[in-house]
Amino acid sequence: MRKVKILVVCGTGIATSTVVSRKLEEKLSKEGFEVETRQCKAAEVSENLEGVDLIVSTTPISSNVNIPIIRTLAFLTGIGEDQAIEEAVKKLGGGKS
Amino acid sequence: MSFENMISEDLIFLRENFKSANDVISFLSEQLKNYSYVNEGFLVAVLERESKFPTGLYLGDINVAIPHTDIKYAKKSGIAIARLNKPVNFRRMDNPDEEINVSLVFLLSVVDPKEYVNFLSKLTASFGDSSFVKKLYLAESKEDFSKSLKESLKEKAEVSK
Repeated sequence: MRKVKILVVCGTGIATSTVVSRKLEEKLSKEGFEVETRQCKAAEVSENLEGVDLIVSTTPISSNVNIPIIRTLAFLTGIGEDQAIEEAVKKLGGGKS
Repeated sequence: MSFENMISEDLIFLRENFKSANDVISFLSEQLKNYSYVNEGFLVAVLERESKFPTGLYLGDINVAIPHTDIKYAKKSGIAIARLNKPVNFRRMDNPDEEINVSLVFLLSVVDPKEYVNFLSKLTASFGDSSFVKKLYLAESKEDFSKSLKESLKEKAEVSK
C-alpha cells in the first residue's frame, strides 16, 4: 500500500468534502493506496498544503498551488466516477502494478 | 439518526412557484425555522455561502441544488425540499460562472457532519441515478416523494455495505 495524502476541498469544508473524502478512501484503497484525507474550505487551501500529494475539490480554487488538482463532482453524484478515479491514480503517479 | 427520521413530509413542498434561488432558499429556511431545525442566523449564512460557493448540481435534464451552511446555525439535522413548477437559476458548484435551471432544491440543516455524511453521500449518490431524479420530479404526492426518496437512500445504503 502506498501512503498518499489528499486535501479535499469544498465551500464550507464540512458537508460535501466529508462525502468526497470517504469515497476517495474507499475507492483508492482498492487501487492500492493508503489514503489520508484532510478537509478544508476553498479559502483555506494555501494553509493546508503540507505533505499533500493531490487536491480534490468540488469548487474552483483561487490560490496558486503546485500540487495536482482534480475539480469534480463525480465523488458526490457518482457521474463519471470511474474516470475521476483513473485521473486521481494517474496524478498520484500510478496505483498497484 | 436513521434516514427515515431525516426526511419529514412536513418539510416537503411540491408544485411551488418562486422567482429566484434566493426566494426558494428563504422559503425553505423559514420552514426549517418553524420546526426548530435552525436558528436566526441560518438564512443569511446560507445565502452568503451560496453567493460565494454555489451548490447547483448539473445532472442533465433535471438539476438539483443542495444549499447548506456552517453547523453553528443548525439545531437539528434535517432537510427541507422544494420542487418547483418552473425551474430557477442556481450557479454550478463545480463552475460558479455557469447558471443552470434547478427544479429540485434540498436545503440541508447539518448538526454533526459525521452523522450527516452517511445521509448526504446516499442522497448525492442517488442524484447520479436519472430514473430516481425523474421519480422525484413526477411524484404525485408528498407521500410518494418521500417514499421514493427513502427507498433510494436505503438501496444505496445496502449497496455500499
